[in-house]
Amino acid sequence: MARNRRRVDGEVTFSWMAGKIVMFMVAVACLLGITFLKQRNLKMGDEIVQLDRELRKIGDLNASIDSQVARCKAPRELEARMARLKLTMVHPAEHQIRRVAESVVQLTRRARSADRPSGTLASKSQSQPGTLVQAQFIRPKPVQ
Amino acid sequence: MFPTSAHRIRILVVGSFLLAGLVALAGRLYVLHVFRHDEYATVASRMHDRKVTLPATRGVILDAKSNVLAHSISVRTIAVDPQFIREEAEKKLKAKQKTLISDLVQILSEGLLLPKSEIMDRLKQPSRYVVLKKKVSDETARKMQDALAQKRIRGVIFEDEQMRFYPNGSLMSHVLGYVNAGHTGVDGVEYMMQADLRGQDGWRKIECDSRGREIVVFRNEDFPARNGYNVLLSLDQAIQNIVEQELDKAVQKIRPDSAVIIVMRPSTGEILALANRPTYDPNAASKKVDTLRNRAISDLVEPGSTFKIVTIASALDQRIIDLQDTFWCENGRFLYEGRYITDHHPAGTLDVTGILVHSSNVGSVKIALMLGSQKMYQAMARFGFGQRAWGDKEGERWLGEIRGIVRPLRSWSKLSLSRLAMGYEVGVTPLQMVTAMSALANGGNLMRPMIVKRVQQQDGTVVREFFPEVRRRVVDQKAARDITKALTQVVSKEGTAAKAAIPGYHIAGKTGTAHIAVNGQYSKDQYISSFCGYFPAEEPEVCIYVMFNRPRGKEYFGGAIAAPLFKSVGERVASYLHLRPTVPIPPTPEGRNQLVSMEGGT
Repeated sequence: MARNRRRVDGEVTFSWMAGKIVMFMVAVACLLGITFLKQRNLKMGDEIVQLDRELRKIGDLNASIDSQVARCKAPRELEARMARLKLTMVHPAEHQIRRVAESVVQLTRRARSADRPSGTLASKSQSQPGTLVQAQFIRPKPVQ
Repeated sequence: MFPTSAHRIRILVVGSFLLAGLVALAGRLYVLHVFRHDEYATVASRMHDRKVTLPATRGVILDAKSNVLAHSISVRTIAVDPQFIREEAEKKLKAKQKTLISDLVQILSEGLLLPKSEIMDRLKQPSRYVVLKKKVSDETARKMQDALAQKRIRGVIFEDEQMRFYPNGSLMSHVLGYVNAGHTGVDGVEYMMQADLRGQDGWRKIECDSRGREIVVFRNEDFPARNGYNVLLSLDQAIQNIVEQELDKAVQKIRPDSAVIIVMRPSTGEILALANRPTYDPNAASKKVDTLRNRAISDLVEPGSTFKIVTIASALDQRIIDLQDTFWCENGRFLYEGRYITDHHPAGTLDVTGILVHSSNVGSVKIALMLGSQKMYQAMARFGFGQRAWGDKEGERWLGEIRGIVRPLRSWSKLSLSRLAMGYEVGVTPLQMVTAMSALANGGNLMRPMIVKRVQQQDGTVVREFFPEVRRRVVDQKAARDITKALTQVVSKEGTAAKAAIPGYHIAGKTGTAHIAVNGQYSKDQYISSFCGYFPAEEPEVCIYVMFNRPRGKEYFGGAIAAPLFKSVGERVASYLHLRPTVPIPPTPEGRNQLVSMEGGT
């Protein structure tokens, strides 16, 4: 019986071969597709975890800022700030500070050390152009 | 070509072996899948499946103006695995990389501000878990994590934690309470509102890979956490700050053992401020036990003369006396049941107002005798003495609040009525006293003290709202009006509380100076000095109770030490609340209106 089922000629036809190749390619494509989808899912999962982490980080940062705001709004802190302001102990505004390069300061110090009268604060008018020796605070005009 | 018999035998043998192998394999599979399924499923589940808790954030406590009083921030506990680090160091040593330990110590020392020697000592410990520092800020922890990752150092454990933070420090500490290490409220509002503040932890069932990382695609159940509700209080941090500043000044001067001040809105029973001295900072890791007690609800005191308001208001309510009725005050020395009752300001004949103005013990005892024991007892019960002001119901109680002592009528002695009339033989809490005074201020309704106004979600949606609650009527409106009229005379030049007067307002109040019982006898040099008053007397907005326990110094009368504090607090609170003055304000030497200048305008 088994002998009857055996293919006698053993001939390999083109259509048979093509069918096998197509089946093989479909199987490979399916495998690749599954692998690709799985990889994509894993990647998305990683992204979700990453986003979760960032969300938590931002949440924590928010809480930290809230905490700082609450601390700044605390009556004792406000009173301390008011007391400082009453003593006019304020940080100078940016326009009140004239910034000079360090090298210029060093050069000027050397140049002016000989002829500057002792105990006087150098001002722009006293110094040569570009040789300011010290940041100058401009007193703001009193508010009427 | 057909197989020979030898081939057939070989095939049979090989086939038999294969079959036997397959049968054995099937058998093993059967055993694993059927008999030992549960055991291996558990092992696999333990290795890959995890249930992660998603912790809920504890709710925020806010004041009446929605300023943050307590909130939770994320912090880290930094620990190390010394054994793992030593193994890693040995591996690196073999690879001629000697810097692991020194790099690690450098990073930890800079981040945690700990001496290098201390870190080295801890790294030598024979343990797999050694805590280096707790409550490290998130930012610092992240910087350290980055630095460690850059140097590829492992073995440092960063554990997430929540920390309760009170931005105002000790301000309002006795009201807010604090939380324990498990983030559970153990006192004050933190304890009382624990169920609302706590929130509900969520969970997530996850699967992990061989390296312990979550495989998100296999994320199973995901139940997000519900954060705790925010609790909005009736207290105002600005008023509280005024109260605490003034209290600190007074305490520095008077140096009492303890002091209490309560500010209440009489019409609603809302507590606007409550302060105790000594106090504590809830942010501090360790707190002195003695400072933790909220004396406003847990200290039992004999109130002294402030209690006369109960005697006289009840007699007025029962129509036993009228404000114009006069009493012979025995020139300050009255023999009753074999004991003398004396007055500090001896007087002859006084009307009811005069009895309050001069704080006459003799006069108030005579009124109490007219009232009788039964009615006096009932009056005390009506005013809420001997009961918790906050409430007796389980779950509604303020932790640590006591009932006070009102002895049952059957155990009264012959002298009890005379003692009660002037505020002895009764134990009250400051909260009970201010609640009783508020009842007179609002026309006779005893209000339930109110601290929490609202429970709301984080977006402001109201979950629960609390409304003012009238517990009972204690006196009728006429009696309340009459006693207010009499009490305004107490804060006059002739009265005992002249120092409580606030320009621009009629003040009603009563002083109290009670001897403290020490070893069964009343001490001659230890006192409870108090003042309880409200203003504007015509339409009271604020009721303030001030109490000093064992003041030191020459002055010890309530009118001398408690009344000035009432005034200084009252003035600033009136300015803050923009209370309309009810009497013309006397001009100052500069010719300017005092109240207007207080408000900062010209």
